[in-house]
Amino acid sequence: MIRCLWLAVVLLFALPAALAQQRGADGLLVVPPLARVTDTTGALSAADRQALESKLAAFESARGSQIAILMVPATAPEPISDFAQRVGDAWKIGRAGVGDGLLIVVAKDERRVWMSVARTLEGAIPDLAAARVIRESITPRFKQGDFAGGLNAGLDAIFKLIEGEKLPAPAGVSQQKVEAGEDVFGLLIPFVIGGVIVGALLRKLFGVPGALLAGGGAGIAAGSILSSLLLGGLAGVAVFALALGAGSRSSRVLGGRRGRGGDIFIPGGWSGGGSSDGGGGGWSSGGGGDFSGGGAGGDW
Amino acid sequence: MHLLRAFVLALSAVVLSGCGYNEIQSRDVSVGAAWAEVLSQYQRRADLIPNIVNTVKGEANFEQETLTRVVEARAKATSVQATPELVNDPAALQRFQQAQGELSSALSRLLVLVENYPNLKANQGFQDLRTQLEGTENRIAVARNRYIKAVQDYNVFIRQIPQNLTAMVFGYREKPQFAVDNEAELKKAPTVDFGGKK
Repeated sequence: MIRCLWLAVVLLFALPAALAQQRGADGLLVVPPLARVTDTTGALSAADRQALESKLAAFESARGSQIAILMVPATAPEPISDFAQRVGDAWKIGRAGVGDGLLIVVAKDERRVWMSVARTLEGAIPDLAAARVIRESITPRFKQGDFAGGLNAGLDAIFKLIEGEKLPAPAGVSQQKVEAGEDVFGLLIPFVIGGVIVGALLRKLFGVPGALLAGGGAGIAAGSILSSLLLGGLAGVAVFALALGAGSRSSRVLGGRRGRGGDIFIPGGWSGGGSSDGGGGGWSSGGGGDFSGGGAGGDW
Repeated sequence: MHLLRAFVLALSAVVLSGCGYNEIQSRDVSVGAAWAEVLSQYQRRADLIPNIVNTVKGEANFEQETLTRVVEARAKATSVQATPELVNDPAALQRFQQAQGELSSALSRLLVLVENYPNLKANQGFQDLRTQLEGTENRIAVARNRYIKAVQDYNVFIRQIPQNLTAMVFGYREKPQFAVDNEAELKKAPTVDFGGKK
């Protein structure tokens, strides 16, 4: 019986500790994994959290802007704005190429809230507007302990501000991908053309090794300038093949050798793709948000 | 002969890019862009100050000395020629930094003093200015951090082999970093004597 009680006491203390944020060696909060709504304080009920998440998901599919809420017990010794900045830098929420992200951080025990606005949204939500949303919509409800209500009201106000701004309409994910692909291959064209011109000459001079040389050269040049092994490899192979063909009509295809093989290269960092638009886990950041210090804070 | 020349040209392009010439260029431009951001944020702060000073002036018997200090520090900070070339001149960068630092400390003293004036604290216009100032200070901090990072990237890069040779040949020198020595002092919250009011 006593042992049972003891276990209960231990669990009671251990559970919040496990839920609480991890801290790094420097005593600062570790940036939590990306999620639309993160709550390590237990201030939001599961239903509230779910409601906020689907609200954010709905807004993202309607307008494209990515918004995240993060509730922690405290950020000290770091000011809440610095913590929000670090999270924003790590998450980079906001569509790729648009960068419309917004982050709300709540330090519950410190009774402070901070709204970090990515640069794209600074026009729609200047610092003063962010401060007003916090002062008029969020903190009055926080004062009464109504965190879900405060966040809800805050989001409504933010949505209205963002809707007043002309942002690109949310595009189909597949369309964006094709554009990105075209951009990348467009970059290769100068290398391939230049390589083929030189390569054709080299092919005439030295035969197949000349084409190989041109392919390798174009590959290395493209690879180092575009800083991507894969692109370099592609340019190299393309130039080699074209130079081989350009140099001789009766070209025999060589097996095996390539300009320069490549590692896997993912263009544009970690642009997630957003395959799961529905609420819940698996949300991915657009990777375009540039948080450069805009936003405002408040306390209650 | 013609072919040989073309070959040499192509080869030199490959060799140069292999020596990091292009990378030096791109990092140099990054440093310049980061610096421009720092400048524009400092400018944003300088633009806010006259409004703040005017609002505070409206408050009867506000401590004149503090106001004068802010105005003077602003004048001094804006008189330092803040050109993009500043990034290549350690002494000028030091002067610029010093002036901006003085302005920062004068401003934070002003903001601490304001706590003593209930009218100002209740004044929505002043609170708005204060929010804007806070946001600007934030942006300055972020811009400075990014600049420091960009300079660090650049400096490390041009010190490495073989880029150090390329940098030497083309005259790319290390860029001065924001000094941190008096920074700690500047960041300290100013101590203000309220004359035993508390």
